[in-house]
Amino acid sequence: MKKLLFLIPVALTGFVNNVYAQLPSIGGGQIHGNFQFDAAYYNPDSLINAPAVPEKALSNGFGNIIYTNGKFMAGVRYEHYLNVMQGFPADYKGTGIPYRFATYNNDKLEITVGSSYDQFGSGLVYRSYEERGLGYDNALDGMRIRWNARPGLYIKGIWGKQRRFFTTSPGIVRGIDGEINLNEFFGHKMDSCKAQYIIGASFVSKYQQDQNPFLKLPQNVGCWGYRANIITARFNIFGEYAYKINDPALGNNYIYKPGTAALLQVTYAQKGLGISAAIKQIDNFGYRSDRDAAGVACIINYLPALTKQHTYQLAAFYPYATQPNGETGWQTEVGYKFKKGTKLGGKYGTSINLNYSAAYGLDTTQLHDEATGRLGYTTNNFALGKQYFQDVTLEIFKKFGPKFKGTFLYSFNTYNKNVIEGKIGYPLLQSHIVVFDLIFHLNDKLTFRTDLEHLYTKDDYGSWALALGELTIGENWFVSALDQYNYGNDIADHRIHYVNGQVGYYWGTNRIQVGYGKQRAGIFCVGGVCRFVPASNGFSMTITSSF
Amino acid sequence: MKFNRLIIPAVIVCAFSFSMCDYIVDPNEVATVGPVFDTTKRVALIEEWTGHTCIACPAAAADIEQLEAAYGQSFVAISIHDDFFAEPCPSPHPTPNCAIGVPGAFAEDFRCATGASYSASHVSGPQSPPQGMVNRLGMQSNTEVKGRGTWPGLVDSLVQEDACTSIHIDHQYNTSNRQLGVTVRGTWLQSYTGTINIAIMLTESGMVGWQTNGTSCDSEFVFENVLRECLNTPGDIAGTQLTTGTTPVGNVWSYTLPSAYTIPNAFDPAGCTMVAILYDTTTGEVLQAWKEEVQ
Repeated sequence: MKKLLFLIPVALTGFVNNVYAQLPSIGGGQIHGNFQFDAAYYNPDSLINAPAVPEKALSNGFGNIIYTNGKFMAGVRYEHYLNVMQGFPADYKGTGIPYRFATYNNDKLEITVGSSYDQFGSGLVYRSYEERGLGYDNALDGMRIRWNARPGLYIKGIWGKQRRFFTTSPGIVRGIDGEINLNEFFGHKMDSCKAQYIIGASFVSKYQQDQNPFLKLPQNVGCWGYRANIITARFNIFGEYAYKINDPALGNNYIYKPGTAALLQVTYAQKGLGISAAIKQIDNFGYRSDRDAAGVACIINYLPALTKQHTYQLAAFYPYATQPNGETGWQTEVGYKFKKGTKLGGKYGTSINLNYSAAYGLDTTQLHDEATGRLGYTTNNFALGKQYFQDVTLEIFKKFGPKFKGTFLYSFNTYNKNVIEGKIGYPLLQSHIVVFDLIFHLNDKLTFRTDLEHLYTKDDYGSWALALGELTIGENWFVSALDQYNYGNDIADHRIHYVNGQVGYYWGTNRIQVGYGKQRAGIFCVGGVCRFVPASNGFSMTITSSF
Repeated sequence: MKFNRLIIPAVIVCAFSFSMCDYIVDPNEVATVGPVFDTTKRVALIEEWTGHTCIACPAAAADIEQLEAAYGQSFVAISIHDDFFAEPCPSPHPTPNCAIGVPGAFAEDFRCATGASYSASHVSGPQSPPQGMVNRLGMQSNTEVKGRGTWPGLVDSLVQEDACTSIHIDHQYNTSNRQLGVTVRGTWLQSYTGTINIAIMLTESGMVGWQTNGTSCDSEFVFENVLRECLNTPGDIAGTQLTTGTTPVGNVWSYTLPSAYTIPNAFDPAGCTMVAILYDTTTGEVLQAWKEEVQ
């Protein structure tokens, strides 16, 4: 017995020594991360329909902490919604660590456990990503494996449940993606080829139990796609076709029609000139791991909006939201830079950019077959349905002198509010937008930017004017004031000035910004995914930091 | 040659993948559902948010009608008209364009203080109707508000579960002074530990009014199960404590409204229904429910 007691400290010592022996390899890694804290104090304002908020002030926040050490990486993200700010999904409640992962990359085989983001092809079949501005996060909680099986052959597999706010989706998502870069795969045999050829295919299946006593629902819904990409010195041609089997869901009103999606993108680039063109057709291609989910919850795939992503506020007043139930859309863009010293280029050169995009509904025939096959409708693939959206935008970037440059934008926008916002009885809204964005470097420490915008329309809320003044002081401060004025509203009481002021201080990778003012209600979109932001009136604060 | 080596694994992957697909030929090929009422089983309660300018809400109303037909007395529905989509037009909610210029279109206001209490307690409920709760399942994980597609499955599952109590409503309605007296009673069938509250809601059906429906406006939509009031705690869904601790199996319980409720003249007693709800105050889950028409 005494011998045993004697052995315990020896054994413990050995254990401790073992731990310390491993520490150097653990301690050799790096920790980095970033934090963001947003808060707002809300005043009720009946004039702009800003609701009363019982808590008065609301806050969102998060912190990412990532540890890397050689081939190993691990991380967590803490999030808080106390309570969730206006305009974000109310299902974000409380605090937690919904994102955590560990990855090890061992000789071309990378395995991730926990949360992961990834994409197959263009995302038509599978894309998990995060867009904090939308409150969108469909990270996959499970396992992801990436294998570079041999030169030119890339295989990915995923298996897990999607994040749904602070829980996970009831459905399980399984998927595999393979991609072959033929040039790398065949090595020297293709050395004479001036183009790169890449082909790929992906398959995803979701499982969700059928508990519906009235319908026989498919528990396993498969979706697959094929893609090809040809890249030359000046051209990049990418095409993908995807198919989904019967997937009755809330989004398609529980019809059993298979879904299809096709995307073709061509870009051309040479010095001073860039041209791109893209076309897509989507037919019943919403794909979620919870067939009963709505909004931004549990979306498995990504359907890009082929429209210009405007950054100016009035140009982005009527943004387009992808219609998963069906649309045909296209976009072309030409960018050209006039050389310095030419008539149009002037002393510093001039760049112009012309963009045209449009989206139409499908030409469909309703089948009224609820009692039989529930296919819902048939599609005439060679015809267009109702117009959903159109945007023609011309942008000119011009440097007038060493301390003065500007951007001019004109945009003509057509917007189907009934389809995009789910409203009834609106005509097609048409608007003309003009923007002047001017930047003056006053001296070494002061830069002044003014942004003057005007939206002319006889529809909806009528015309708007916007003026922004922003002064950057040295390397640490900025002050801005903005007024959005709905002067064209038919109702005199609704001709409101939405005035907003901001002050920001930043140093290194830290930033503190406070503001006060009114924010109009509107639709906020990123990449065709949108959320409605209600009007608000009050203080706001943002603090960010990274290390 | 290198491609040849890939063919066999590719075929295996494809075969495995495509086997993970369920092709449905006849979607309506399901077991017959019929009234399965049994006093020892749970009653399923749907509390749904709706509104007359919500374009997808008529589909949810049709779902509820289908459930009522299938499950009879084992199913109870309450339609909560609250928040943005339930606001009357033209103010504060702008009249939908399909009815602009039509006098009185969308002027109905089915909102009530009890509906606002529902929304305050379940904030995601009114955000994007139609959404609803089925016996308030999932409150502890903040997932009690569910899309309409989940309702039939949950209802079907609930009505097959044993209830902790039987439940019945006795009432007296005086047509001359419109006073309504209510007593809810039952017998504990299972030992249940917790604090149970009772809330008695009043709903009304049969009102005709305007409703957006898909891409059009329906001027003769019939509104059913519209929440009007909580009878024992007006304007508040909390209700009254019925019991706490462990329920004594076999014992009879009852709850009587402290004072009679006078049905307002704006409500038609012939369309009114009382809904008694027993719920666990800790989990939030509705344990049992019952409905009884006033007339």
